[in-house]
Amino acid sequence: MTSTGIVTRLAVRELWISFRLLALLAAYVGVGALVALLPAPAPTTLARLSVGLAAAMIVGGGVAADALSTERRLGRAGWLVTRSVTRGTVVMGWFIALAGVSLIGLVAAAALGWLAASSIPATPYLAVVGGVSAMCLAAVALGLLLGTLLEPVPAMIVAVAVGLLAAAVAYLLLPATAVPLAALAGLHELDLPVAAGVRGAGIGLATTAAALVLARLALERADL
Amino acid sequence: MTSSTPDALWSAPSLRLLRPAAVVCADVSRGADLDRCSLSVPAGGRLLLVSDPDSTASALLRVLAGLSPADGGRIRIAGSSDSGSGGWGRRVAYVGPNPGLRAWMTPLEVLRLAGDLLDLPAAERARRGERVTDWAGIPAAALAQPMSRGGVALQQRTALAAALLGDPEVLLLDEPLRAIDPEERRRLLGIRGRRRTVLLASRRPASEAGLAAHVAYMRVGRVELIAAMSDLDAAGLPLSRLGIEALVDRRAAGTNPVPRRAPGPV
Repeated sequence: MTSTGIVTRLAVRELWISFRLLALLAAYVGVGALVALLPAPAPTTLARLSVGLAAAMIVGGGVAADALSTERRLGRAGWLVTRSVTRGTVVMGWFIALAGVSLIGLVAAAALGWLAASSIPATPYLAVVGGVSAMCLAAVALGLLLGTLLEPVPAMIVAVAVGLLAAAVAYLLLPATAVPLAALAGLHELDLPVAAGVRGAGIGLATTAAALVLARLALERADL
Repeated sequence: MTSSTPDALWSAPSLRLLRPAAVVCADVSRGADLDRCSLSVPAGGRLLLVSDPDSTASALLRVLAGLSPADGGRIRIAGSSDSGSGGWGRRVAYVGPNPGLRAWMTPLEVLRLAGDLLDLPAAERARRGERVTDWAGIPAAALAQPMSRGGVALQQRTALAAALLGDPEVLLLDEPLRAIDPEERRRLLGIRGRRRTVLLASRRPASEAGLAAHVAYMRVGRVELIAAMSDLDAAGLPLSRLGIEALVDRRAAGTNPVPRRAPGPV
């Protein structure tokens, strides 16, 4: 197994032991369950799903920030680094673990949401959910970036604050076609939902890549 | 001269006479702790690092271990300036004041993890694991239990065992094993190996008697003195911070005839 695989497996076990994995899954699946259990017209269901997923992403960012910052503070990342694990591998291992858990939860939530709003065609829904998935990855990556820079509690608080700010901007200031979460809420009104989903996925993946590169650079300069 | 020191080579008398350097750092700086610090330790040397302030010696070991990036300077360990797994990464081990382990893991899991990161085959991992757990004094009953049940002492023993699993050429010990009683700690830190180079940073040098052949004293981020332990004895000075500082002052005043020299193998 590669060192990235070893770190990822270790990160998943750490998430499980610390109940962060359950918190993350519960945040996403809980949104899907809530949407499915509260009958409403499709537009309302999608709006609820969109806001719920935004909240779950904010939780994901906070969990990521807290997890990596705690690894640094307790010397666990340092223990790995003194065993020839590169700092970039530490970041990537944690990203894969957190992103994997988040995506499993998001897929479950999206499936429940689609079942609840059964009149929505599958293709545009999948395209927009793809864009939302990329945003989910970006939230995790940004959380990890903050985790490399700050102590656990401040990292978590700042991650949540940044998430709330980004959500407010996304819903209130930007056009629905530019933000997959807003596109999901207004899916029934969009002319080109697939294009909106693909565009959102591109923006989300670019943000993810940039945040991961910055997180790696920050960790390279950090005292472990 | 620097050199990697595999056992087969190290057993050659001619190579031992050359005393290749296992650790060389030149003009290494790190924040306020290290200021163009230079030091050379021959292979097989056992060096006690004492500093004023205390954090300086720890900072040097953390830089050598790759935990703190240096602001400048050059480092060569075991003949390589590459800190990755292809260079000296797997030939150096670090044990610090904080074990850095997950208390929910068992000692066996930690050793398995360390073995996986070293790419050790399962049979070799098991053989080495048995040897290092014996050395570290980890009770058989504790091997399969979470370390949280055994307290900090068990975590420190496990950290030492994991560090020794890779049979490192250079062992960096930063205030290690303080949760273990002094006699047992002395036994554990008396790590054998003719080719093994040990750097031990300590804030309580008196407790390290017999563990090192030489002492280095660092002040204002630089090495001010490297002396044999016997120099302290010859000067009638105790192995303590005050004793070492007195030796530094005597050398500076030229009142001590013992010449400055690099530490040699034990």
